[in-house]
Amino acid sequence: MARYLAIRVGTGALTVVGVVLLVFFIVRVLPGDAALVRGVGSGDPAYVDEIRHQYGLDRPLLAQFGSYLNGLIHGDLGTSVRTSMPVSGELLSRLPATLELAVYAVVVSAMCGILFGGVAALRPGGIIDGACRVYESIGSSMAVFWLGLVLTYVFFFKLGLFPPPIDRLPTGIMPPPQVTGFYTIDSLLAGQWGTFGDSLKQLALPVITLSVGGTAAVLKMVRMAMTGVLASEFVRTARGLQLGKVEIFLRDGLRNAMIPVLTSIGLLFGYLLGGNILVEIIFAWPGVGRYAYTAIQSHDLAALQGFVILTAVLYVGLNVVVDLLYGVLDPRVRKSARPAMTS
Amino acid sequence: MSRTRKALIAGAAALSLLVASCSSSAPTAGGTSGPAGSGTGTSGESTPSTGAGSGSAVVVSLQDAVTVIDPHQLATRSSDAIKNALYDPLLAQKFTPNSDGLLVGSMTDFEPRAAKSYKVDKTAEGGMQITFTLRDDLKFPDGNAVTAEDYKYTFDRAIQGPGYVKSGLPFIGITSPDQIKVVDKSTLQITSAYNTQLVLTYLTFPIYGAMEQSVMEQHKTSDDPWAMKYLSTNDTGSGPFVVSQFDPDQQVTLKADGTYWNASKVGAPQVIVKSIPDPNQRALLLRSGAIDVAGGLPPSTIKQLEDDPNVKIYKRPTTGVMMMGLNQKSGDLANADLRKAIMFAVPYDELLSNVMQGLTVPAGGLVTSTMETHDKAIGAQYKTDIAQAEKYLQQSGLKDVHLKLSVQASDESQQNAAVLIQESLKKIGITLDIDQLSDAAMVQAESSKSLQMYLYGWYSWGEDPFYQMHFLATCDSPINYEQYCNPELDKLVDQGVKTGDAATRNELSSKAQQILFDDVPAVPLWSLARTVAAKSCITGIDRSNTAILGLASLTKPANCK
Repeated sequence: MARYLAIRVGTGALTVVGVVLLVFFIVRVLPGDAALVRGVGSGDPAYVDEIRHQYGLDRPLLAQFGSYLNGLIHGDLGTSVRTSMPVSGELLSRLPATLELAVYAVVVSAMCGILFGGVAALRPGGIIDGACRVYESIGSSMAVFWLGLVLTYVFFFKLGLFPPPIDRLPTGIMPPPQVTGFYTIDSLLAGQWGTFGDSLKQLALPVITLSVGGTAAVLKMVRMAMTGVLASEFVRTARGLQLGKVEIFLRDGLRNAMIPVLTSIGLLFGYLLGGNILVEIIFAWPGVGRYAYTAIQSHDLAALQGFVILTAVLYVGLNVVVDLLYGVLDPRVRKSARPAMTS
Repeated sequence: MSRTRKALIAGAAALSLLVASCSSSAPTAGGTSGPAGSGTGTSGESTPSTGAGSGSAVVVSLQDAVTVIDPHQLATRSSDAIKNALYDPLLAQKFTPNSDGLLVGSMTDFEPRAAKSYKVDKTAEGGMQITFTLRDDLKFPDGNAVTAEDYKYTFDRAIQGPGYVKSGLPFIGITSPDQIKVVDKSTLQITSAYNTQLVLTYLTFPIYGAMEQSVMEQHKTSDDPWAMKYLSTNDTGSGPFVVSQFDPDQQVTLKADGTYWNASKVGAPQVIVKSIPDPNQRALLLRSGAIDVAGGLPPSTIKQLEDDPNVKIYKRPTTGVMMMGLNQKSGDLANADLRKAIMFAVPYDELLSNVMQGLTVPAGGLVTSTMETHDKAIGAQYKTDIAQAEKYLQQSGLKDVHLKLSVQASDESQQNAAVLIQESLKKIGITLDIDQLSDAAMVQAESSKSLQMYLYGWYSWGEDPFYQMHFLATCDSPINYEQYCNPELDKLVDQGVKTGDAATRNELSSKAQQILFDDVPAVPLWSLARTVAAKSCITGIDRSNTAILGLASLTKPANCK
């Protein structure tokens, strides 16, 4: 197992190094000039040059690259041209918001997907299976920004069931003392039940928005995997032995179908960590996705680089965790020190 | 822990998400009516606010986020609104309400603000010397008195320090710290090389509000002698508000400063400026009552809000101009007759009614229709006349003209305008391609002067016609992306900047406007508007000579939901 872990962590680290090297040059190929974007309104080229000099954008590319690598070694992702703040601090302060949103969305998607996908697999071609297929098509093709706007309009504006979709807590409510950065957990730790309820309410609409597509992805994978497993010989044997339906479903069916399902959940989590930008924009959610959006708009190179590196690290870390879980679920993976599937 | 128990706990945690939506343990919609909490507190519940200002906290969301609050650094419009509330300039415009309840600042009538009085004298060199006597009750939030030394430090920083402010000061004849003198603790003397109205206008800008010198000195370093890093996120002003909580890019909470000399006139005890990136959400939140004031809304969204009885629209046309630049060094556009043909083919009325939804007024030139010295006779000539357009196109001798117009992909109005212009040019046989660029790419392409035709908006603080023409059309201006150059125009603009006499300014400006009409460096499409939508019960929306939304005058009665 230790060898298996070492291989996975080693390849993950190489991936991150590759991203770190690539991202520096890729963002510089994009059209735009951060100093111009910030300073052009002054009508003063000297001011634009001042900004360029202040952030080292006037230095030769290799010198900038050297400073960038040196900063990375010391945990410094540079300074944002737009906000004049250290990028690492800005990203870390926003990360819990994104993680909390992603975790809840993954949990809801996984629960709904496994439940309905499993039930659908019990009777392939039945009504529930048909309904799940329809949902898969609709859920996976629905644009999240459109869905977010519709949900806001109906459930907040028309029905008043949810609070205004701004931020992680209603205006005027202070965050709980930070321990994990997850307001739901920190408020419980601090015994602030009102804040706990408030934070859950604020999470509800963006989580539902993300979970509609997420559920469709997990559901599809569970339904397909479970259908195959439940039709296999060892399940037929188990049925012949008069084992309980629930036992067959959970132990023989679900557990054997979990590796591809885990892959899809891992992919979904990775996507939500870096790809929920639109949802963060619509719900004014102060996460790293929104930070990346404004960084792109203003061509804020350091912020953009920082976002890509953070996402890469999270994604690679997630893959390592998923691979380790493969090993837990399937002893053959542990012994061969190779993953059954890669995500 | 048994498997069953684990499953139950996991299920309960997931279900709580849904159950919470039905619970009633905390305020929901309309939560803005209560006072917001202080950023320094650790309590999890809302906390009462203190300080000046009556009524309730006001929640504002403009088109962008607050990023940097150093007055001498260029940042976003939301950042400008914050700086405006934190710093106290020497002079202020006089504001009077118009028929819609909008507080309109006078462009010529000023009153003392941090100064209790001021005296203007002519200098022997033809300039002006202004002597300010500061109020006796001026204090910084830490209790220290505001002195003339603090104002001197602020001007010195503006002239010598980092930032964009120094580039504007030569327009008011100030180029050296020696022109700012401390007479005594409460008397400051400013000498300008020019004797113009613009000098006084400039002194109403928030960027010249006093910074607390002792605090700035504490935070300076050898690499950063003007404490730029510190001031990016900290406030050292003596204005009506102090920063209570600052999350760059997300939210700023301002608390009315009880020690402010004019605290009784401050409208709200707290103002919260939130970033809500999506304009549709901003509009929806305003309609629901979750926020009180919304800016940066597209014209089509504003039009929808007009039907809501709980929302009031404040039209705030400015003297800024949305124009279509015509690059004089880009192929066929070097031909003046072609530029005139384009100018006459532009559908001005349709742009105003269909794109801007009637929310602004015609531009009528780079010196726009609401600007001082605007020549109405010249302005009226900017009208759609297809016959004239065809005549000029024929006169140009060009055939099969094919041009490219670049617009910002993020700006709905620019895209809609481009389509109308494309259709109109087609009527006279000109083919126009529309090129959508990201904001960053557009700025870079404009600055490299590589675009052929482009839509571009410009607004000049202080709303001075010569200042505006200087930036948009003089030969050496870095933002003259059209690469237009007419030395005669440059001379007129230079004279106008230095002249205070109204009749002379009118004469110089009219001549310049005629040159711009004849040469067509750009086609003025409409006057820029900074429309604001607010709850009907909110009062104190203003329109100043910087078009920054004033936060100190915003008032929200306790019963305003």
